[in-house]
Amino acid sequence: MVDLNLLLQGFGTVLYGYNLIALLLGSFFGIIIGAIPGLTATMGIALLVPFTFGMTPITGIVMLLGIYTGAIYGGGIASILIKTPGTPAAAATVFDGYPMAQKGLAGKAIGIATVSSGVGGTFTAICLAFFAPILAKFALRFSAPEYFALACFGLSVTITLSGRSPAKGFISGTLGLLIAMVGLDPMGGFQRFTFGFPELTGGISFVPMLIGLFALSEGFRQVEVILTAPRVNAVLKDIVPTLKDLKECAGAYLRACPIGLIVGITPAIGADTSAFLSYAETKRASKHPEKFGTGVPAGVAAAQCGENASTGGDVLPMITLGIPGDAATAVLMGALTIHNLQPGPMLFQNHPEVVHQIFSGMIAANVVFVILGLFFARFFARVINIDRKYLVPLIFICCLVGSYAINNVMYDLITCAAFGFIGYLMLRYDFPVAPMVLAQILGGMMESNFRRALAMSRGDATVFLTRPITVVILALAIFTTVMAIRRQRQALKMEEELARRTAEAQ
Amino acid sequence: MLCGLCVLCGSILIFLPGGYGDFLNFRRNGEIEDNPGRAGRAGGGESARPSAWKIGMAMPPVSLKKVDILVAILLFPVCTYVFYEAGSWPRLPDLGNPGWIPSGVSLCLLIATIMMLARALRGRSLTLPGRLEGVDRARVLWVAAITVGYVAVMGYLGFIASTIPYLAGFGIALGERRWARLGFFSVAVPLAIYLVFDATLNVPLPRGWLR
Repeated sequence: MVDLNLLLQGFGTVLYGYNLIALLLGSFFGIIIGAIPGLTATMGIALLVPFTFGMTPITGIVMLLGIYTGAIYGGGIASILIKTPGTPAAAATVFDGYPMAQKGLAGKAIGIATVSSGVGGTFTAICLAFFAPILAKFALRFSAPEYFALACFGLSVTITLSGRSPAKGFISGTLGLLIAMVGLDPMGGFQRFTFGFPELTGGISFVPMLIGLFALSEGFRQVEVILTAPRVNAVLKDIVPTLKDLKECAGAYLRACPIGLIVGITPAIGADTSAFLSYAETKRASKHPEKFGTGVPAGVAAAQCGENASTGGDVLPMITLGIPGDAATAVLMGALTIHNLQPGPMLFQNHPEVVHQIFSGMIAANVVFVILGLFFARFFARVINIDRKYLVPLIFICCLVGSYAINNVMYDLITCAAFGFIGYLMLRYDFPVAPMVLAQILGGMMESNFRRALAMSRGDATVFLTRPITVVILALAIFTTVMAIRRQRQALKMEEELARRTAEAQ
Repeated sequence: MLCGLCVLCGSILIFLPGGYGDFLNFRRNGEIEDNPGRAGRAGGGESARPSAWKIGMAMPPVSLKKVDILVAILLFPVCTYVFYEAGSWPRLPDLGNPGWIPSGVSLCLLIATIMMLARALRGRSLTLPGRLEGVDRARVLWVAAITVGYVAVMGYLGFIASTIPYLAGFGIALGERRWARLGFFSVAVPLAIYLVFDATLNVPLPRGWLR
């Protein structure tokens, strides 16, 4: 169970001095990143990880949590004002947010969106604080076979991140596994896939690769199409919602919060699914479902609340088991590792105070962005007008300099640039990027625990079939893989059928 | 190695569906307009050809068949190499064969590649929602080229001396022609980043030989 003393001490640490400043700055930049269409929360975290190097671990983590939660929320601002989601997760906010803006209620919509995001995010952050210690305690029973099975489960789940093609997802994931094998063999110590380059003896640097694949590749995409989003000239009035407004949205919160938590915990299903499900469920349960889509505040509330409610659930498997649930938490995990904090049950054993500071930071981040969002709504609305011809080069410089700053070696710069271009090509030609990164993280875990398990059993492979928890997790992994492939094949068939009918109709 | 990779990837972009013979033809002032020459080549002489900024809204879908086939051709030797290399590693007593996992991974990669190739050859590759105009790909190649150059010279010239011309070139590649503003941006950003990283966070940036 959560240690309330440690949690309160965590608040004392997080809301004091440099930690508070970092939290405010992180939330501020996170909202800006989320508000600008084309920039994602994952990209924002990847971009700003290097800025946390000179900070203490908790200061850096708190800043990144501020960016994460702020960016997820910030996407709704562009959805409401210019009908273009700032982040993919904010797509559902367009349905009722933009019509509200068209009626001259942009300020009210943004205010409701802000508070709703805060409600959802705070609810799941509190749930994270309560459930994570329970899951971590259970995970202490795990040994090498269980961790191998967990890694396989995590890898199987990456297939559900495959976008539209299971084959391409597999290709991306297996290439990530191969990238993880570059360097020295973890047990034998001999060189693997280094091609004689001494720089590769230590493997491919993870954080520069991450920055390249998530942030620089998006930068190349922005170069490809310099978007001309319509200028925002809306006058924002009545931003702070009244109690009557919030009462109207109460039903939406009651549905969106648990939906967001469950969706967030489910690996590979992200904030966008949570937002759409919350919106659909709220519409279904409404007395006037026909009004949804015409500018109903409850529609905005449901989408935004569901969006941010998934953040706590996404962090849960990452911090308790060391399995990132999605791309953003994969980057967060990388950041934790840089600060010498290895996520997993041992983190709860060895650094319980740090864990509770992370919980406090998550809760505080969700409150901070509400305050910033309400006070600076007009400023954030103007941020959408930023000139991309200056923003994109700035992104490139931050990515490259950030990569160099990790170890002060040019090799990391080259890694970032190379993977940035590779990531751009992958995005361009429909190869999902996230499975490659997640496989790189989980591949090492899978291989080392596989070999450790064999060492434990003196080479007897039945060790993976005789331990009940291992068997259950491996069965889940196989089940998830099969269901994901079936689901995607059905979706592809429907897509082809629709295309055929459209062609026939024309 | 990086330059070779970029040349290979750039070739993929240039020679795949699109046809980018006029890849230097992007406009001044950051505006991108319809290219009458391309409209004629499209065979329709359309008078209202959508501009590059409206990609995906009025353009026919483009199949990824050629890309899928090319990627499959590139991946087959990768699978073969990994399988061969994994078989040559020394075995360790009681620790199993270190080549099992890489061999298994290369087998999965081979199967996935064959699946993708089979779909492509059956004409069932996925489609992109719209075709890119040549000017957009050209811009990406320009930016990639100057980024390669920037990475190559930073170690010699140092951070500030290399970043100023990089940002200026980048802005020009994106179509910026307000020279005063571009000049200010190109100088101010490296100085600001230097102050943040080197002076404040104590993260040293490349000094170069021209310090």
